[in-house]
Amino acid sequence: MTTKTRSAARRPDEPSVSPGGAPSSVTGAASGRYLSPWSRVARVLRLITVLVVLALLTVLGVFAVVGFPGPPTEEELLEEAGLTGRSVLRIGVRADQPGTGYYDETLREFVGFEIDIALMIASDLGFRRDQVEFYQIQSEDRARMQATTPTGEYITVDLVVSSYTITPEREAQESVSFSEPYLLTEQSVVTRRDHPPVEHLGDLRGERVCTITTSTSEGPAIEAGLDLYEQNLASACVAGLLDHTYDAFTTDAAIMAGFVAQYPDQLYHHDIGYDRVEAWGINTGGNEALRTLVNLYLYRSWSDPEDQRWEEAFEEHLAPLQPFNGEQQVAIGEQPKVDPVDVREWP
Amino acid sequence: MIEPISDGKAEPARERRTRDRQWLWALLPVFPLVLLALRLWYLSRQNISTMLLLIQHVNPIGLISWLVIKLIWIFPIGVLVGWMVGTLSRISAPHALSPRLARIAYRLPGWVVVVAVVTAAVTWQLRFLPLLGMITVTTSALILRESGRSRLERFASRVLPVAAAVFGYLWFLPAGMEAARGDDPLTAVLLLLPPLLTVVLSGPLPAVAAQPVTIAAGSGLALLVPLLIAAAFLRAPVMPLSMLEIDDQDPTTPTEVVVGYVVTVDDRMTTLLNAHGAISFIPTENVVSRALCPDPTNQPPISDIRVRGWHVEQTLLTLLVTPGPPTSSTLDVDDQELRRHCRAFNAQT
Repeated sequence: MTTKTRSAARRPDEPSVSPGGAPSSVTGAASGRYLSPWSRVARVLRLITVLVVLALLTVLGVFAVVGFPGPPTEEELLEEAGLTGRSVLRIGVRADQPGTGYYDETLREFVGFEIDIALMIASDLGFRRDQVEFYQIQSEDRARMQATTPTGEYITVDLVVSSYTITPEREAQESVSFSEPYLLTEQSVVTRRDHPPVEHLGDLRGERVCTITTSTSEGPAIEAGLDLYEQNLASACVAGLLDHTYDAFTTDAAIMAGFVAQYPDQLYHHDIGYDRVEAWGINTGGNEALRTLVNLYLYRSWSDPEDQRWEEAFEEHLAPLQPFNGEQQVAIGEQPKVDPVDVREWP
Repeated sequence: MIEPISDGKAEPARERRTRDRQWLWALLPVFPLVLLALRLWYLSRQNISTMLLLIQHVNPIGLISWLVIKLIWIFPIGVLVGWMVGTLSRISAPHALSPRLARIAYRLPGWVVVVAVVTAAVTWQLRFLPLLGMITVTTSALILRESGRSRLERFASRVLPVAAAVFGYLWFLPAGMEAARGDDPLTAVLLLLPPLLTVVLSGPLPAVAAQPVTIAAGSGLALLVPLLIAAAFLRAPVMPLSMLEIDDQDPTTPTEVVVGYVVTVDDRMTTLLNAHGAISFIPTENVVSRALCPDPTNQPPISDIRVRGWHVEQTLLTLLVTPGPPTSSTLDVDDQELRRHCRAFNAQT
């Protein structure tokens, strides 16, 4: 505390002097003595320290005005993603794949595992069920985020949750930004029941094999030297299989499992011993802020033991398909691990 | 030893000038009123009708309490930094012509400093408390060192900074190291540097530098404090921000969501101020639901460092009075929707 009393005591060790160490010409109780070299060094050191403190305070003051640097908040990401003030979230999904994404004509709504995952993300983004619009999207349009409306018009969607396997080649495209995976499955083969067992893709040489356009199953099938036919929709391959246009259908097991469950007497799922994991991700169409948010919600779903939405979606849509698919695992029944996301959160 | 700054005879001209300015103090109570009027002016986008409508419905007590809560943490910055730099300057060059800040620091009543220290201790975030300790201990030690009458007082002036530094490191070192390792340099500096500086700073500066440093610090404060007030001012809402769900009684159209400051509600009309400063009147019967937006200035902490269980961005006040949960990690839809719409409002203002 500042004292108003003038002190009579003189500090013998550190009198006040003029700069340079010469005795001060100013007369006063403290003057008239040389400063020791150590005192001089100490004073200069203190001056530097004071300047450091003042600089630190200035930096803090500037941060207090413009905001302290750090990772973004969820709200900032929502704003950056262009979702604040939006009344509708558009999501591109499959409409023809029972189990994963399917438009139910009787219920007049989309149902399936991917629909539930899309609704989980939409809900975390702050969109109610009636504020989410689902549109069918075909394989070749997933990278460009172009879905079709019921009247056949193209529309740009905010998210694509459409059995889209994460690959570096796809991610290299500007309009593709994958979230962390939400489902792990593998490539397999479906044939009619009268087909001899298929152990690996090479067993299908000389047969007419259908796959989905731009799918990751194309590469291994071409490597195996198969006679490959491509369709835009999985349902077209299955229809071709059932009417004997094709002899086999190869793509991700989780896509085909729903069809096998739908036609258990006609279709058979072969486990072909192909060990590459197909990890499905959500495409946010190059919207990095939205990708961060999707990853954040996937991480919360993965890390929060009380959040059972992923598990419930799997139990409802994919687990019931397993009995129809024999030895071939439909998909891994646990949510894939998601790394923590650098977002400002309440502790 | 310190000479009197002014004895009333040595500098009659300066004394007269000082006395002549006393009337300026009468303007001090006007300051918050001017701030509030400016805030309403800004909020109404310089539309005088809107401003008058707001004044009609804004509660002055509410405005003053809002002002106190939002700006109180700034008051100790001016007092304490001025006190430290002024004392340092006065002790370094007691015979030089004292800059204004040094004179103010000299005349500053003890109780003002105590009030400032207590206010800072309660309203500053935990990570700034080492800085507060540094300012308080070094300045107290400087005063003891220069005007201590007994050997004990002078001895205390040497021991106090060292003891404070040891205590500071005992308390803050683990968290500071964690911050340094955890890519959080600002928190690391704020926790680890002040105890060291407490020891270094407890003594005079080169006499020649005292005056420039004091003037620079004084000018910096004079610039920074109004800036801080202005920044806090423009961000903080004056009225509660609400999200209203409006159903226009037409079954073919979905309910509409609007966000704004609810100025007043009566049985016929709900008066809303939107993000662009425009007033809209909504029939009260069409308002289906209303929710309060979260405080836009209440953002999640940047750092996740804790000092013995205390989060570094928590203030003692929030430790004592736990604020309501702003958000939780498992949000239900309505909460998140609310935040999305409210954020849109805040982004526009």
